Amino acid sequence: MEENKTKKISRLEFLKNTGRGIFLAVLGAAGGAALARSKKSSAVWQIDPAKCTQCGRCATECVLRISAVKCVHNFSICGYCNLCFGFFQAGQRDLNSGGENQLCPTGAIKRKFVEEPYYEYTIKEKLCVGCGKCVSGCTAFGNGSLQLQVRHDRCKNCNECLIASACPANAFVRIPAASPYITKEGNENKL
Amino acid sequence: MKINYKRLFIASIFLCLALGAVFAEYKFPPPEFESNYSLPVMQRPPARAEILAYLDIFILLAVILLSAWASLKKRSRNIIMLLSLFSLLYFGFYKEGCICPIGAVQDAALALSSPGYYMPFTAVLIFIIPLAASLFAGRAYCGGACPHGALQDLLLIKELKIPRWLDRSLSLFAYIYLGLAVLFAVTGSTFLICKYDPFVPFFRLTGPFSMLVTGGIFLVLSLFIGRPYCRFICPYGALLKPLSLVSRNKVTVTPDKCIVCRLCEDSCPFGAINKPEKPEKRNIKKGALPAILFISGLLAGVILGNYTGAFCSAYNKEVGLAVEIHAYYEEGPGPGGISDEVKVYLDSGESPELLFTRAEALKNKFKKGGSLLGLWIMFVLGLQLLYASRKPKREIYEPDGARCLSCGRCFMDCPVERQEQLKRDGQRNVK
Ligand code: SF4
Ligand code: SF4
Ligand code: SF4
Ligand code: SF4
Repeated sequence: MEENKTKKISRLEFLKNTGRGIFLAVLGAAGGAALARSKKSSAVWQIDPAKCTQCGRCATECVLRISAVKCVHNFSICGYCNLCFGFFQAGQRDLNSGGENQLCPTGAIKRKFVEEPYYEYTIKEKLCVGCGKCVSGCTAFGNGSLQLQVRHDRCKNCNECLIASACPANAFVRIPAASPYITKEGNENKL
Repeated sequence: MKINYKRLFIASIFLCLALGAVFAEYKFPPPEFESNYSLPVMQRPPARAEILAYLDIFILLAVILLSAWASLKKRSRNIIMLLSLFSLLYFGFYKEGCICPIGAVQDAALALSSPGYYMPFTAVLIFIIPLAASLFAGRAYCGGACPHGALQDLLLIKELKIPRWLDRSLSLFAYIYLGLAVLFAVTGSTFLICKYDPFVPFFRLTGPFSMLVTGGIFLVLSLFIGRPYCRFICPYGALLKPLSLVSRNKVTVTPDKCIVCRLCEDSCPFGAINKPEKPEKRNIKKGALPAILFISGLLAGVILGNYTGAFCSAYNKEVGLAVEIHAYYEEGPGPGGISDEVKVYLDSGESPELLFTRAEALKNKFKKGGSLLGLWIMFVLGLQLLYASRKPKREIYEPDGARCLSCGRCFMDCPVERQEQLKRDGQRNVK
């Protein structure tokens, strides 16, 4: 009786050990394969400006109530135009910063006179909601110096970015955290 | 000499073209300022420092080891509780959820099936470490290191018992969810687990409305039901269960011999403590019937899974786009105009045939994956039935290897344990 019992227990033990061995092998194989394909650097989400069509979903799809995507300005390729297509509404009456003339729904762009006939435009990031209206105007009619970028001081780096899965242009990519922006000027991530 | 002139001529033409291109790139050439205006620099706030990702791994490892030590060796619920509080604060409210082992299941599946996918080294480790640990120390990750588990665990105030049959049936859902999540991940459709995670919006204190609602429901449920997400939904738990079943070391209710006093019978809020059982006379029906049933079940799973796969493929972006483009070519733009997706695609100038082939391939992948999913579900179902109908001989109270979440609640209900503690305290006092 006693012997019977120990035999039974050892059979159970044996089964368990075999099971553990098999699982360990599977885990090792899968983990090894995944490690072999993995990249050394952590990843962040970013927008490839060449693909973005300024559809407006960046403003609405982010998990944050105010999107982590903001408009950024590539000053070195800006024309400093008096009539800025990113700043003024189409059919504006006067070329001044009156609210009724502005394209940005939150008035996040600051227009400042530099010298005749040039004006400087800066984004007040606190106010920007990432709707891309200005980017759209600048890209279509101007130099395209305004663009959208995920701001990493705000982004939660979701495992799956909700904007990425909603983006109609598949403009979201994962890039190394060490160079986390894809800008038109001084581009570190040539795609 | 003659050739050189020709070359020079060609070169100068190219130079002119190139210069023209530079100017044509910008409709309004960037100005040369006369005043001493200096160009502002674009701000680029850095991403989270790389070293912190490694620190996370280190902390994860440390917490799992501590939790294993506290549940197996030290046998202290208090330490486990402190650990889970720490994990809730660190992995939950500080790290705000992402990336956690539960979600990493999808990254791993995608990385293994499509080599181009960007999966960082640290994410692989986050996926592997708790699984490997469960082969040796049971679900130490669930006990002390998982912020999802900790949140539910610390919320439990008034526990409602769930009948065993209901508990066991509901917990099957986790396997189905795991299968579905892998199917959606390997087809590059979406990360279901992340999309419907109930607790991450709470760690972040913001999120889409639907997520906040599901999260709220789970939080309220956790007040009365021990860890509902862990037991019935968590796909990572579905991976941990079979692994911890064969774990080398297991949590026991008592530090010594079980005296079958029945005091711990109801101490586990997750229904994980198995009672002593006498094996009944087994009356397993010999014969071909169970085998036939099982095989036809598998077949039904494959066929149903195939249909489900085809149905699910509609949620893939590419397949959805193909349907839209097809409708566009057949019927022209709908009353609401064309969608952004269609616009982008038409602008890209790609021949729709290419898109249709890609979508077709994806749909087939979904069908194949769906069949496998059906097979998987039927297999799990069969195994579960077998497991439930098995009448093992058990003489003591012991936690179920797969279901025990290593929380340590049962320890202090055992009189043997209390005796030991008294003895230990006595020794300390004597010293
Ligand atoms: S969702 Fe995509 S296309 Fe739309 S604005 Fe954002 S990056 Fe651009
Ligand atoms: S990763 Fe998350 S927080 Fe960042 S932009 Fe995407 S949805 Fe927003
Ligand atoms: S079962 Fe619970 S504790 Fe374990 S990984 Fe899942 S959510 Fe976390
Ligand atoms: S440690 Fe005890 S109480 Fe906690 S889950 Fe395991 S069996 Fe249940």
